[in-house]
Amino acid sequence: MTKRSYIHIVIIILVLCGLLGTGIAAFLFTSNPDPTTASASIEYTFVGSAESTAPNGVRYNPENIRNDNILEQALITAGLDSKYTPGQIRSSLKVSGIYPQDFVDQVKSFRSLLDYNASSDSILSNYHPTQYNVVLTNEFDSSISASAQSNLLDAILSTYFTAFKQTFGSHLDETIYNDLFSDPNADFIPQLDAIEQEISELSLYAQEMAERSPDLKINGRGFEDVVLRLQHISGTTISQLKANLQVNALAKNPQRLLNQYDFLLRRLLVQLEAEKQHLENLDRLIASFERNGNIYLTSASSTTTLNGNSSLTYDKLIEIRHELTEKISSISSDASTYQKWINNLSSNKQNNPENSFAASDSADELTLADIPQSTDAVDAVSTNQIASFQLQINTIRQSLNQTISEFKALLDAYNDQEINPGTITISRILYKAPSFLSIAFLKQAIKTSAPFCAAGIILCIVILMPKMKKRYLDR
Amino acid sequence: MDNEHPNSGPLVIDRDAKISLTVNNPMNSDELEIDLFQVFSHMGKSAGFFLWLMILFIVIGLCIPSVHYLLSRPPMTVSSAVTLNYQVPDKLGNPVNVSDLTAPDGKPLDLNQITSSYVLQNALSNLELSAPVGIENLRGNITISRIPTEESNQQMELISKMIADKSSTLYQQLSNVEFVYSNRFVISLKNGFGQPDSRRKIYLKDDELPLVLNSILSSYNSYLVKTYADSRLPDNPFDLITVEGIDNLQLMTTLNSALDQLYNYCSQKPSDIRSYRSWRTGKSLNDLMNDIQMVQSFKTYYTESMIQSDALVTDIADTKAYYQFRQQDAQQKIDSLNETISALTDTISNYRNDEVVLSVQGAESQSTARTNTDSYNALFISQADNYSALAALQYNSQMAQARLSMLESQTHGTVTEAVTAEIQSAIVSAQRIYDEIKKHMEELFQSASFTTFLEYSAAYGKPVSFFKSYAKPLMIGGGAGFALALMFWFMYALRLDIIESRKRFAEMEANRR
Repeated sequence: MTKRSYIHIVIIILVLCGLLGTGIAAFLFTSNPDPTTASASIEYTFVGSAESTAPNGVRYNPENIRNDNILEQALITAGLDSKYTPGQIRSSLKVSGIYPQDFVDQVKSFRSLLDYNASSDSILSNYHPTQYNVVLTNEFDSSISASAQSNLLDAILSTYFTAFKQTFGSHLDETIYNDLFSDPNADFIPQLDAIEQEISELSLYAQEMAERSPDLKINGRGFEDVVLRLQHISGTTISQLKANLQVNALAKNPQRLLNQYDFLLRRLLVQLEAEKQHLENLDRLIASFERNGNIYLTSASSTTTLNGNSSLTYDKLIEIRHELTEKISSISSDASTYQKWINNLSSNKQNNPENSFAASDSADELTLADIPQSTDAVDAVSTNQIASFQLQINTIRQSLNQTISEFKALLDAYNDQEINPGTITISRILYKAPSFLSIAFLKQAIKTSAPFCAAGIILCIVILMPKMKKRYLDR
Repeated sequence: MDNEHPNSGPLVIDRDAKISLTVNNPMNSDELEIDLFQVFSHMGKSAGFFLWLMILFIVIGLCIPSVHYLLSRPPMTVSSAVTLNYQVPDKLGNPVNVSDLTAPDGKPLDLNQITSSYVLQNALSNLELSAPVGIENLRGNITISRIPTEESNQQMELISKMIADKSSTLYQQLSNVEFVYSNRFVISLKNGFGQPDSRRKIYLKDDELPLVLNSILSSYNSYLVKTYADSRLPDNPFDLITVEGIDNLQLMTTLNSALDQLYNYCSQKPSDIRSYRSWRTGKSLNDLMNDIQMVQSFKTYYTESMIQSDALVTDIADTKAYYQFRQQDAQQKIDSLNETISALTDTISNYRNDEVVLSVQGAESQSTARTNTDSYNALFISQADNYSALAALQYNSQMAQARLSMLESQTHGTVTEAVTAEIQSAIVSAQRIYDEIKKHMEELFQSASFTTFLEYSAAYGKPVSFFKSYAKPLMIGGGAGFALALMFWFMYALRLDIIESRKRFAEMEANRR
């Protein structure tokens, strides 16, 4: 046997062993294949994403991709709603944040540090990931095609993006105001009060938005301009109209308004009396509170404070008092407003009985059914005034609606600016199926073949050694 | 080597003389030469065989640690950093962000609940695992590491030093110190489930382990939300309020009182909940609270004033009796509360706060100072609440009295269909604002802001790498195989050389003779 023959034998044995190992690996790989996966990454880059805070200031959780509503909508979009349920998909959908290596190292090493001893070196920083991996593993249907699986993940991510934009964007639904307060048959003042309430809420909202996005403009107008316009409507137009109504004591139904204000005034006065008594009691309580200062016990190495939460309790009592005084001043202010209205309505009723259709002796017996007859009794000037005031209120309403439209347009622009494919980036879908060319198979083949090859080498040596020895001795 | 001895007489040893000792070989040969060049030459000739032998030994040397790795592979551990994220009441009941391991109700947080059956069962029910892992198995493999605050950390270090220095007295004093931990902790899950002393353990796939830990934390978060979050929706009395079976004024009083309750429900929510703006309407709970007041002003008070001013009730005697009862009931409660207030005032005036004696080391004089106790402070807060409740009762009593007076002074009006329609409209408005608040709260209760009590990082852990952890045994095994083979090789060549040397020596001896 020549040297070349030995090499041939070795190569043949090793190749056979390698093939055997690879064959077994292939059998194992195909008999129990890894499930196919479709994956993508989603990255948030809007302001606040580093704190997991959405553009509307509310915290978000990317785990919501697995929300039933989103999955249900995604299945409909992908045309798979008749085949799968959101429950099936949810258990196969994994969302995981991507953390920097130093944070991962801190988490992994933390336990060992603490197990040993308390250590000042044991740092654990806080980190909110901005990038997440979304993986849809096919554990629900072995017959689903690659494109269907990828399309499903695509639909899930698209639905999530749309839902995110809706849920974490800033929106406005003005119809709620109409549902609650809009009543053209109501008297002037309640109508104006309702509009003022609406303006007050909208102003606050617009102000919040102006602070969040001071530079956003459409046609040169931003949120700050919306606030100014709303303030103008409330502070100038409505105030003027209210003043006119108050001075002239004009109302569609003065007697009914008078009754309402009288009722509200009585209520407020009763409340005021009770709260004033409350304030007196509270003042006595605060005066009797023993407020002791802090005691500092100092030694060479440390300082200990004994404060008994005296200041904290005192501050709490003062805070309660402060809230109470604010409440009292608000009640007083409302009461004096109603008092003024009552005075004006009463004096006007006495001076100009024509403007007060309910100011007759029969007012005591007034019922809602009588109102139309009473209105008919109003003279021509009053009818014109009513029409004029109603027109002015309608004009205010129109002006407000226009401002609301501008506000909504700005909100939409803000949402587009903050939540768009540039600030929530969804990567291309990557589909992976078990393949003999994949790294997974390569790893498994190496793992399975290695022991066979090792055994092959040993076999070669065992077979060849006696022959080689004999050859050597012969030589 | 020269082993000849020319002198056969007695050996005389000079000072500093060297003795050269020759040991005879077992074959009693006087002459044995080992030629290293010859040895290497033999090694070279037998290289073909011994190189194969070397490979065999190296492979065996490498296989031994590999087999050991397969038999006793260290299990993978995954860890996640968890941060508590909710508000807790401070000493005076004001909500503040949690800074330590305090539960949302202000009591210490029991982290053992993470390993409770409820949490683990929920966690496992959401997973399909490759091996049947039970709750008990899971529980034994979870480790929770709390993170002490900086101050507690220093105290721990101090105690550690004292233990090292054997300062037993000081250690005893300090061992009563309560350590404070930050609002973060690290939770770890180790693979290999089963009894600690059992050889047979259940192993999950490495990529399943992070899923299990995440599921446990998600389940614990749900547990905290269910246990502590106040996700109670407002009561809905509006469905029950109808124009039938109840007189108009009582109905309006009930309606307004229900709206007041709805307002109180909203006002008791923390400020961050109240300022949450709905994505559907753009409204916050603060806005909706104003809207309740607006509905009252615009509808319910408006209607109530009409009914009251004209006594538009069906049965005036029945209505009067109702308000008489309300007035008496409120008065009775006022009397009772006044007694409580009086008793509490006495308690406060007789209460003695703690006195602290202050002394300076070395000085003879002592001074005293007072410090408030928590009980003393609580008495004042409680009394302030009593006064607030008293004001509300006084208001109710006075209003009932005022309504009674109005009813007595008014002529009984006629209840028309228009009045009933207006009342119905007020009920509808109240129902609408309730529906809006309910929807708003439902949206809020489903939002991440409300349902995230725990923020946790992804579970991280790497399987112990074979090459990383077994590099040394592999090198030793391979090296030992190499060295052993080399030794055999050398010994074999040496043996051949010795044999040849003997042969040469024998030939030389034969030639000499």
